[in-house]
Amino acid sequence: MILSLPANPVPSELYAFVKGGTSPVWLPWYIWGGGVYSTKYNYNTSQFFGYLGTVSVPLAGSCPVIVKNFRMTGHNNTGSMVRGSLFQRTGNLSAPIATIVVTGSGYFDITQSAGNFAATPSVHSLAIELLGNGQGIATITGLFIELQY
Amino acid sequence: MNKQLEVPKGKDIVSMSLSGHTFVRLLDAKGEEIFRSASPAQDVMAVVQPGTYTAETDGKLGKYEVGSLESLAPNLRSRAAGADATKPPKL
Repeated sequence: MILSLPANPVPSELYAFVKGGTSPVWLPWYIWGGGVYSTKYNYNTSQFFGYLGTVSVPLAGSCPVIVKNFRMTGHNNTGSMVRGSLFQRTGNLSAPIATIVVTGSGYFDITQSAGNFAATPSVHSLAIELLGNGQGIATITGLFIELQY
Repeated sequence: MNKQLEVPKGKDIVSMSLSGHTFVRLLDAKGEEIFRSASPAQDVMAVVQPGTYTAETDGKLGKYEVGSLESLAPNLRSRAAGADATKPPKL
């Protein structure tokens, strides 16, 4: 099973700022100033240093779900770095299950093994955290998790 | 072509220089694929644990370098040196 997740999630506080509502909006991210990100919507760059957003990964059922891999697609410009990490959400964030880093210029389509991580839906909650750094423009067009039930 | 890559302790990134490729992937010591890129980019980066890996590509794999995630940000900032960091790009 491939789980396709909406990419370029706009944090809820930005929804209100951009659209005046909470409906999903997809945006390219303008990574700027050594980790600060901004958009043409004048997002507060001093408050959200390097953080692009978090995507929840929904899990269903009661048996362990095997997380096979994590895939990220998009486009990056020279000078910016995009980093996506698949986490198990706990009180204290543990090491990521899988991390993808993109620094080169151009289209990217990268798949990283998740090491057959066994997630129990009733216990584990997964999320993808997106970070940016450098100076440039990056667009994430897809986030995918391959699950084995 | 195939190439053996060594990632020493304390390092967690492999940066590979590629040409003429449509994919590159890394296999661990058990032969399991742990990374795949279908990107045409000439520089591809993989986040890995320390160990020995086999890189496979249908193109040419040039040099590779190992590093750490923590060292990436300063490198990016130096690459962008000269830019006015107070003004984001106009679109």
